Amino acid sequence: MESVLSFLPEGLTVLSACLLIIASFFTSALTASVGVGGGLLILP
Amino acid sequence: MTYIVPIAALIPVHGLVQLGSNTSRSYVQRDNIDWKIVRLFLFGSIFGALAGPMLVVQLPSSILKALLGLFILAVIWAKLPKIENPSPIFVSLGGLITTFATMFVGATGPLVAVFLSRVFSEHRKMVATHGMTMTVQHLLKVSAFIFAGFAFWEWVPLILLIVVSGFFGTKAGSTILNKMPEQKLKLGFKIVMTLVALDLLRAWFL
Repeated sequence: MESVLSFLPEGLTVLSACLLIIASFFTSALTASVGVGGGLLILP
Repeated sequence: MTYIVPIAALIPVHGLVQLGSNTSRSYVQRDNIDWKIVRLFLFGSIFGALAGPMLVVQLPSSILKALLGLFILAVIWAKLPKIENPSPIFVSLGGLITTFATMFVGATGPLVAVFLSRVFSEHRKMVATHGMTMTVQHLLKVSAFIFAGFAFWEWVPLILLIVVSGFFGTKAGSTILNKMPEQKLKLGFKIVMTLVALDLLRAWFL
């Protein structure tokens, strides 16, 4: 686990990094189909 | 992202993630990009970016956001005619005005999308061309942050994973785009744009 954490910016947990990675899949899928929305959806 | 990424890194990291995501979209949907529109739009954008810092807008950002929200709602739901074969000046002016406006309001994606939705009658071409204009705009944004001294290196491994995940999301979304009927795609666009506009209007009441 420590080796994984060494690749992450300070203060970020593995769980929060995984959430961002998963969110990126769905928000990119939204933008690629509808044309807009993914960038705003991943921000809040 | 706001809850996970420290506030000082939020906008630069979001910009780099968006650069990756829009580059993926432009690559996957490259056959549908209208390069003439991209060139003209970006030509106007340069002047919009240069004009922004020279003018001071006195209105608070909440009012500007609300006005943008109302504008999006009006353009999306009013029965306006499509502007087929727009003149080069019209497209460049669109680039100038939207780039200028987003410097004060943000929401660059929806604002450019609302403009391009009037130019393209085919949803697929609009989405692909929008992806390319957003790629260049975010490239400029990220370059500005690098120039200003933001250290992206600490974020690179995570951003790479986010971009790879986004690439597969883009592939999935593009499959939906190619399989869904045009009318349903346009309805989906209207619904998402309406939600974006309502979110911008919310700033007025908070």
